[in-house]
Amino acid sequence: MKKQYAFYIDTSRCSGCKTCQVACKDKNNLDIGVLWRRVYEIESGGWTKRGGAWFNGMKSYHLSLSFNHCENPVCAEVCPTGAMHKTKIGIVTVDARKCIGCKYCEWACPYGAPQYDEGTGVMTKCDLCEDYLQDGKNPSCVDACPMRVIDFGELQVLRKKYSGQDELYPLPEAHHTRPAILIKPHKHVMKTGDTLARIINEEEV
Amino acid sequence: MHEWSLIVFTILTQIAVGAFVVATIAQLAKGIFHGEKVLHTLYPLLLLVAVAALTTSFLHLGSPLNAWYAMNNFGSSWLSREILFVSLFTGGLALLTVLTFRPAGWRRSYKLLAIAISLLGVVAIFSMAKIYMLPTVPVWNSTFTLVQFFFTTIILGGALTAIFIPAVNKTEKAIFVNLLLVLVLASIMVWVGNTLLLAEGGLSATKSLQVLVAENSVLFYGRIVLLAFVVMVILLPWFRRKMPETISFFTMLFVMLLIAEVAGRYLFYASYVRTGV
Amino acid sequence: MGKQVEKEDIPFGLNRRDFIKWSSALGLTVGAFGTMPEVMSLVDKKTRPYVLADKVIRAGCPAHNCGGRCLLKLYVKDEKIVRIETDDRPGDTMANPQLRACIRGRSYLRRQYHPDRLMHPLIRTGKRGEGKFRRATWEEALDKVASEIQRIKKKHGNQALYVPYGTGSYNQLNGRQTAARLFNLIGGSLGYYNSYSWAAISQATPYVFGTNVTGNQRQDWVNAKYILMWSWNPSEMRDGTNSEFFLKKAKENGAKIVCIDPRMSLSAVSLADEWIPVRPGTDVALMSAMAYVMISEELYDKDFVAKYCVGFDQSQMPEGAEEAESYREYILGTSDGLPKTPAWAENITTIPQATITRLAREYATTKPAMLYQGYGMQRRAYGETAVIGGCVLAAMTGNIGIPGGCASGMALQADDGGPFWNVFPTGENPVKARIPSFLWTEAVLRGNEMTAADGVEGVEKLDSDIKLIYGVATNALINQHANVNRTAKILSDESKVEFMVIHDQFMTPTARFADVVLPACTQLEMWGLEDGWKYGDEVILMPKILEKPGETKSDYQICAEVAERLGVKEAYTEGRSEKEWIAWALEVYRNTRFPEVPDLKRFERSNKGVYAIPITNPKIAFDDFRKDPVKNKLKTPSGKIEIFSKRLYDMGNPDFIPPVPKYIEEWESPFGEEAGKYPFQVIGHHYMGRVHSTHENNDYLNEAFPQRVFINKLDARRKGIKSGDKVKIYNARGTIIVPCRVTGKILPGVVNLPQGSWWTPDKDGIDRRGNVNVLTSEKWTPLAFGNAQHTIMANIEKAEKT
Repeated sequence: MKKQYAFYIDTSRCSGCKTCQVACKDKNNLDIGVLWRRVYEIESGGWTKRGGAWFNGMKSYHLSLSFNHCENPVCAEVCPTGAMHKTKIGIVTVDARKCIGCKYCEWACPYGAPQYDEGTGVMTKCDLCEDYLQDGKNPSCVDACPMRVIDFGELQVLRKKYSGQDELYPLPEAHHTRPAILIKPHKHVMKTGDTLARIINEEEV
Repeated sequence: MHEWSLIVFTILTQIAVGAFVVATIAQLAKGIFHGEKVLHTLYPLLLLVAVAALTTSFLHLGSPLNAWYAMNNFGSSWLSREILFVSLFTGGLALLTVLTFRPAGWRRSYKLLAIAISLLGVVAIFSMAKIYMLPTVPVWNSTFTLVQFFFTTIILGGALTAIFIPAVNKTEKAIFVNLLLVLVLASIMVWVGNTLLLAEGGLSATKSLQVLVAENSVLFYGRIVLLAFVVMVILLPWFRRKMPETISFFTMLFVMLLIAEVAGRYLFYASYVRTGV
Repeated sequence: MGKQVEKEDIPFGLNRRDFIKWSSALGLTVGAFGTMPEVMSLVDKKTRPYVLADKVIRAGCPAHNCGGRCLLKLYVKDEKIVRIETDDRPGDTMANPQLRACIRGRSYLRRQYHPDRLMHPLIRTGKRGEGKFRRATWEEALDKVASEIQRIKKKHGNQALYVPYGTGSYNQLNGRQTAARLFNLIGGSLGYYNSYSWAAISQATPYVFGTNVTGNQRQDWVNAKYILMWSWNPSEMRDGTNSEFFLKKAKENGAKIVCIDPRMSLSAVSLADEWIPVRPGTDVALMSAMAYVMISEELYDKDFVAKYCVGFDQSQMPEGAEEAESYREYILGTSDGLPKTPAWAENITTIPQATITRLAREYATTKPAMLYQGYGMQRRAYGETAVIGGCVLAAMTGNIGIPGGCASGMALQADDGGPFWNVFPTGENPVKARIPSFLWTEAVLRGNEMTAADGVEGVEKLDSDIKLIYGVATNALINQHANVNRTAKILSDESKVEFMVIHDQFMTPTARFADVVLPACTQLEMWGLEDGWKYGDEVILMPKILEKPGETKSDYQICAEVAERLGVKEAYTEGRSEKEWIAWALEVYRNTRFPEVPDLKRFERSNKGVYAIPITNPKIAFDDFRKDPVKNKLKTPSGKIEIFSKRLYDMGNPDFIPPVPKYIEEWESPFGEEAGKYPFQVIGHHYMGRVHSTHENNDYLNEAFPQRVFINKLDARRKGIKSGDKVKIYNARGTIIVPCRVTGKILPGVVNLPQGSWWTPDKDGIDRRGNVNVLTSEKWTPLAFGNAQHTIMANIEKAEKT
């Protein structure tokens, strides 16, 4: 039965420690350069000096993002071989046996979810730990977080449990792919398309 | 950069399609290629180019061995469609090439085949352009991409075909050259227009603009200068009222245009910036 | 492909018909290519992650000096650990939370199976420090070690032997204590006191409170309504597993959290309502200005101060110091004519005076409030007085001995001081002489001249220089000690330290200077047991899971074999195997802090990994003192909280060891002459991607947290530096070239080079991996003789294409 799964991220308490990123890498034995979950460090604001004092309006938060399980998965739409497809239980995933490694899904996905693996020459991505789901367990990242800011479940259920949004900086507008993600905004949250905000750890994602 | 194979693939495919279409139109309109001997050189050459293009496209794949699946998602993927139509075009071109080598030579019935193959080629180029028109890549996501791909197709295709036009057809050559001139001028304007459009875009569009104009300024401006030079080269014989007719002239023209288009295509891929994260 | 498949045969819901159709079409083409099977098995391995393990074992995360004591769930297959998960006990309440591992624990396999693991004993061939070694047998290596110990002991005496500070391994049978026990059985060795982490704070706190047990148990933090995190970054350091989780609970319970830190740390981003950047080294100026506001606006707790403290004002000066300057007089500027106003502090700290005033008011009037001091602020030139400053503010606001409060200072947890850490007995050191842990290079250079003036304790004067160093699990000789270039020169001199042994798992910068390097096993390859790090109400078992690879041995085993050659094997091992020692340690815990803990057999069989006592009634430090300050008086000379310390007063060094907390301009600061040439302050925080210098070679961690120098964007723009550029950082002590990250989350004028990177000098002596100790100074703090490693001035420049 197809379900619409989703992640919930409380960015107001995310410290950017990246335990989620590495828990996933360990479970899936990922190479360096392949990040199924990525943690973005956002900043905006500046400094002014008045007399001997520094005044600052610095704002910052982290966003942990893996795969948004979009209701309208553009990656599957553009994939020439159909390797990117929705499984029986509704998870968009890559069938490595068909993938030709053309990276078109990488161009099309506004969330950076498809990750190319140099070693095998195919695209890879977060698979919501489908094997754990079938055993009734949470995806690895959820239970790894030391701050307990990640949750997971069916989108409808999460929406009842939490309030949140599905677009903010650095994510694009949600209407393109309708990502199934619920994000509790940090007090410093910046809007989608904010021109003054920056991802400052780009080399790490 | 894994995009070198894409640069070569797209340019070569566009040359093959463009030259074939222009040759077909010239053949049908003015019967230019009465002497099939020219076709015996042109068609195999284009076939070679098309096959080389297809082969090169494999190089940008991480897992080329799975390429058999690549037309699976014809229903929604422009890439699937492009692969299908390029393959059909190449297949059709191969068939036509074989046929023209038969003792009977060119038959009137081959006209229809040539038209069909041309249409396949046009649809292939259209699909090719559509691949890049993704909402997530602002620098590519406009009709300019479509226009520029077709310009490349006609300009390079036409310039290549011009090399093969028999010397006697002075007027036809003149028409060719005039059309080429117009197209080159138009392509300069389109190129500049696309760049200006980027300036009004968001963060990603601005980044793409930066890549083009700041980080690759030599190539960017050099390309425009080269194209302008080509215009002058075309115009010069005009002023002397002497039509260019030597093969070496047309070869030189083609080479310059090729360089300009390769540079342009390089910039096209280099300016890729995806929105979102 | 030959592996066991758990669920459906074909993954990802691929339709069988399609599969057959396409694979037969494929099969024909594939025949020609032939590499398909290899590719497919590679793809399979990568894309079918669910591994069926032979066994799943719960064990403590290998004990390094991170601050966390977490639980790992280890999947073992074919004698290899193939996956790590973490504590999954149901409940996860505040009283008994899951002990979730951080990024370092989760990526441990990258360290455990690192190709650079030392497998064999090594003996130096080239010059000391060159890093040239040859492989040796254990026999040869240990014979050499034993004979050198005996030779040097005979020639120079036991005081010439030194087992240095090291916390690379930190657990019962793995770590420094194994060597300490050995040397104590052969006549002893030069001892040390305090540490690189806590020198100032552990020495200074007792001058105020008579003890270091000044912190409430963490489950009490949820009761605080205001939490002032001063130079404290528990999210990143992991100052105790779950500290940041408890702070999150406090936030959810309505606490306002303020972070004071030169950089907006991970803790600040995730927990703070407000981040107040302070200029490094000026914390006491801020504290003094806060006190000024509290005094002039009468916001401080007068009753508390009157009843429980001494030295606050003239009315309560201790006997023999009646005319000395009280704290109040210092703050108001009565004696020195300089009132410590927010305006005065603004120029020193760069914090706007309105902010200082507001901060003081909020802290003073929100009750109860926690002022928690982290360790960065005290690892500086005059760290002691900064510690005392925090304690005094806590006293002034009366936030002591109450739920939701905090007395500040060392904050070992009430009421027994927290965990034992290790109980492996080192015995008594027959050598009574002890040096401050940071001054070992002095003892190498001029040990036989060192006296109490150099912090020597136990004897009047040392008899000897240090001639032999036996280092276990330590990178604190070269890498983590201050002024690396100086230390390298000292250690290279073979006439000074005549022999150096190092146990380690990798060829660290310190190991490169050894004469003999002995390969140690990791904690996963041997038995261990722990009861926490600073905070701890659980016993965690670390059963042996893997076989020791190559020729590695545990630190205990190595020392036992040295003991054998020195004739003290029986005394050393007491006939116990490693596992028996752990059983012995468990008994110690049972007889003291954990009377109900199961015995080793049951503990191991339960495969729970942890025995935790739920904390439903967190202990409050000084609550008995608060109830009855006479009956339960403090262990200070006055029996009360000493805002003015007579003992410090009697030391007669008022400029650097003031009896009340005072702002002292650091010996290397933006206000000194040196700022002309070296205008930037450098700090080196504890990076999330390492545990000091452990995990430095862990590729998952380097990917997540690459070593960078963090520069404020205004400074970067001025210097024409962009994020990612290579930057040269230098002062008179050394030069580093390392890539940078430009950010707005650090005070302008300050750069941050996270500590712990392995010193890697190129042919010109320039460090290429960014070891901050290339820039730090060997000067020590006045009271604790501690490391002042964050007091650094340097300059930065964009590096030329090198």
